[in-house]
Amino acid sequence: MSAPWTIQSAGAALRAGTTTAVALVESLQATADRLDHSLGTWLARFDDQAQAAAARADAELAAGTDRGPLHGIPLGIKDIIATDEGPTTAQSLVLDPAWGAQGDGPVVGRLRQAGAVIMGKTTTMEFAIGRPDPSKPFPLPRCPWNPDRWAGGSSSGTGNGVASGQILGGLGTDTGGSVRLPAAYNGISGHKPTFGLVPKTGCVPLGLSYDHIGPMARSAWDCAALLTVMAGPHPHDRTTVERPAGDFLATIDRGLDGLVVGVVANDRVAEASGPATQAALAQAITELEGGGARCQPFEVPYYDELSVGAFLALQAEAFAWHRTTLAQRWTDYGRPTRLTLAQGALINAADLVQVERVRQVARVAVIEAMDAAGLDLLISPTAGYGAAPFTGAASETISTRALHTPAWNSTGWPALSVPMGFDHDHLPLGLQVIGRPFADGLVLAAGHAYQQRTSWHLDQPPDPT
Amino acid sequence: MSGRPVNRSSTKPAEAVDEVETVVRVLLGQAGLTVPDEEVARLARLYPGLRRSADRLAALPVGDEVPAAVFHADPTEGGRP
Repeated sequence: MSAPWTIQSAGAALRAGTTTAVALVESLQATADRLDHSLGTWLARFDDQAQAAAARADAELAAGTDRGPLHGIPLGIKDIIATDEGPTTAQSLVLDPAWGAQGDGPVVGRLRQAGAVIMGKTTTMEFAIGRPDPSKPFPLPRCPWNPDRWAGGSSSGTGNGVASGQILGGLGTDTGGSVRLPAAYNGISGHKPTFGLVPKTGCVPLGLSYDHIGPMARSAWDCAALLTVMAGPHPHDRTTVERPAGDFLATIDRGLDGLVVGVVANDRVAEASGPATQAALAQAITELEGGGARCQPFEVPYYDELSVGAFLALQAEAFAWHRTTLAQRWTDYGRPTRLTLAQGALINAADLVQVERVRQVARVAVIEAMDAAGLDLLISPTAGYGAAPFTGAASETISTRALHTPAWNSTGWPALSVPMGFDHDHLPLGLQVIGRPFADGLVLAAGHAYQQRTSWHLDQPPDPT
Repeated sequence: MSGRPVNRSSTKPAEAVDEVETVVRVLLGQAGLTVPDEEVARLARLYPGLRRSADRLAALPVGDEVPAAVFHADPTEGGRP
């Protein structure tokens, strides 16, 4: 099996003239023709528009116009983010078709402006929450490493699309782990940026103060290339911050030397991680130390509260957005979605305010503890186990306790998942690298350095056909 | 009412389940949701855990701390109103 395309390698090939954007797009579309029915990657494909965009990208490169690392690169967009081609469904019967008529969300527009080729809209869970519901007329996103397993969510199609070679990267969204978890389960890289770094206008909200749009691709380098284009304030988005967005490729080769890394040692993580995950984490620590980092155990203050609070608050925030349509169209929502959203009706106003007060106290406490320990970064498994089967999963493997991601939605800090090996069923496992607020560049550089020492991110799943 | 703890010690298990289901049904009804009985029962099974989580956070001493999401008087601050 030849090495898979990455955004980095495809960009080099485009500039060397050994491939073209049109050839790349046609090749990936042929792969999608072959695999989509097995993997459930796409809700809509924009084949003609993608080929036209690729032809324009080739013509520009031939004429000496180079828009940068994403020029001519085929990407998928999670179908809760609006695009010019439309439609946007949020994988739901409920979303008003008029919602998607707004055209490109700012982040999609930025990718397009950078020369990226939008291949289509990828599968999710309904409104990016719940579980796949076979009773609704949408594809079930499957893990390419074992199609009897779920691809994880909610950025499922972008995750399995990258892993199976149908796209080179794309957009996911992350409210409690929905970029990082499918990245881990599919064996790719996914980055949840610092809250406020990337505009969310044009994205169907879930948890309004927990949502992040993030890049997904094979490598940390690729994620850095995507984030460099995606980041920066936008006048229509009050959550974005006025600060220089940054060139995350400029710092990607910083390396690991001298970094002090805290290994999250809270019981919640250790108790809800299987033996294969713990062994893979130990090996990852050895690799990081081999690169010059110093790793030490670190007890994250208020870790349980940050994790639990994320679920409570995102349910309340999501219910506020869905309340009217949920009351009118209960059965049009999938059962897992409506039962998750309805829990927001069971949380009272004081509960939510207290979550937000604890959130603030906890964020300060974590920063102070990192300062006291001299830590630059934190690491943990992304999830305690590999991708779960659609039915019959052991309860501990699908418990929310086995998701080691939501605490970092509560803090709003950057968190990257990179592949760190496989479990006993040869399902991918993820290493999560967490940084201080707006230290996205350092997080991505650490992930890149790790991937210079390992090749997990280049492993490819077997062909399911 | 939603913040009122369910008194488990003075009720038999079946009665406690009934009481939780009643609370959940009221809260869903107040929110305008008409939910089939089987799904009310499912939510009622989840409700005690939800309350334990919320009550655990309520017990933390956070003093006069303001919520993480801070109010700005100028509605255009940072973007569109």
